[in-house]
Amino acid sequence: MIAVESSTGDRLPMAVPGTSKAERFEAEAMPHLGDLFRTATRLVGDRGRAEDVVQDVYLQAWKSFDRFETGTNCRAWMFKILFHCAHHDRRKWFRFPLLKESEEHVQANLAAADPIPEHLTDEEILKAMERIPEDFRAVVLLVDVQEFSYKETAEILSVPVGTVMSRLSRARRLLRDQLADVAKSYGVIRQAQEGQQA
Amino acid sequence: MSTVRDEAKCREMLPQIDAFIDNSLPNEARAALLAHVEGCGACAQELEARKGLRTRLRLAVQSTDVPAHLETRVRAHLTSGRRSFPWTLNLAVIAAVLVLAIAFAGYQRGHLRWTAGSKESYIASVSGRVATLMRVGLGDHVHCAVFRKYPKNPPTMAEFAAKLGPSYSGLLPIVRERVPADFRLLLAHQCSYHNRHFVHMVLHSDSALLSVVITRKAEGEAFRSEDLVPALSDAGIAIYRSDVQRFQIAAFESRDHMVYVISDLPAQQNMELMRAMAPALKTYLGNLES
Repeated sequence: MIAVESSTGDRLPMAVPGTSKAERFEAEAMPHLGDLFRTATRLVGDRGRAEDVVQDVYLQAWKSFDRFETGTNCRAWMFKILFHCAHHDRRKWFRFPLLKESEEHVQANLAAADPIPEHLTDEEILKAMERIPEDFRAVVLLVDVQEFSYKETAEILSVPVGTVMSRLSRARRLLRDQLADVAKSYGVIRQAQEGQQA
Repeated sequence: MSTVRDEAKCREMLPQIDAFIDNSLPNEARAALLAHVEGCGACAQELEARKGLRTRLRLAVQSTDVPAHLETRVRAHLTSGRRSFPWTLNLAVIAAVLVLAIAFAGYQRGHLRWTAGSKESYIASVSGRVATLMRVGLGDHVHCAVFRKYPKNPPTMAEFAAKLGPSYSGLLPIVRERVPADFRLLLAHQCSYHNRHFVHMVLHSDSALLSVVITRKAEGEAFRSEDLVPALSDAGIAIYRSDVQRFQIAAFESRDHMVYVISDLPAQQNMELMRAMAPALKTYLGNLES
């Protein structure tokens, strides 16, 4: 096996000396492994399957890396492949039904939403995220968590920018509803505890 | 702040809050929103709530730890992908490969879906760059610890002791007491790799995988005779070190055994763990050898 030394001292096992593809891949694609895994975990809901998806993402990326233009946004390109692979993974497993909410239902909701409860754990926030439909979760993951612009997110998901904006607005509202439910359940528990003490 | 709420203005501004916190609002609209929020408590509160939600979401997702072995797995898959799937092959050959893959599916479910061939090619790719005797421990670590799916509930210490047998079960407390408390013992057993017998303990923290690997020397094997230079000598024990990719290897020899600590920890930490374990391990093995 031949390997090329990368700038970080690691070696990419599939590298071929004299070509720059492996070095470019190492420098541009490999640094996104962590973010891709975290996003995949939230998309497919299982760490083991997320590992499989990320593995596929890198293989697909390597195979089409010749078509990737250096200097363009590799991170966005990797995420586009991630959503493609996660979509195939879901079809393969059939465990996560497609939860879709049509765009017609998305309206600007002007009533003041509940404030976000304090003292929520990361786990509770992630659980709330799992409960919202996947199309909405995707925009939250890309815009709120990975901080992609609306335009980049639209390209990653292959939807118009307007759709990204409406889904995002709806997703945030749904998340707050979920989190408020968690807070209400706290209130019920607390009241019960206070009742016992009285 | 003004207490008189301009409902019509709020109605106009609220839908823009999302674009504002995402830095996607044109300058003019941005200035108008800021001016409104300054005088409207309800919209200011809403803005803070949405910003807060965004921050909490980001922190929550980023709290997900990334498995230490994932990078290794991805790199190995790239290697095997290139070797196992030459895309120019005709469809009949690809179909045959698929049939074989399905036949092995049962086996793969418990073993991270690796084929023996891809494992071996990966091990060869990393082993080729370390000294022959350092490869012995590294190969078993990658073969046995990295490419393994561990059960959610690891066996008890008593079960580990039984797997190691009476001669080697005394190694468990030596190792357990000298690695940091956040490492959990995942595996302790005797195994074989490339016709060589090993005593192998695997520990795991949230971010690192660590093996203690012990094997008997074959005739003529010695770190000294392989012209390796010890990285340090501690308590009269020469400790050798090497590294390849993410793997750090520290090793020492007793009269009849070679002992390795291999992990994806930083080099210094891997070496310190070996220093902490080496004297007690050498004494223990010395008793077996006598």
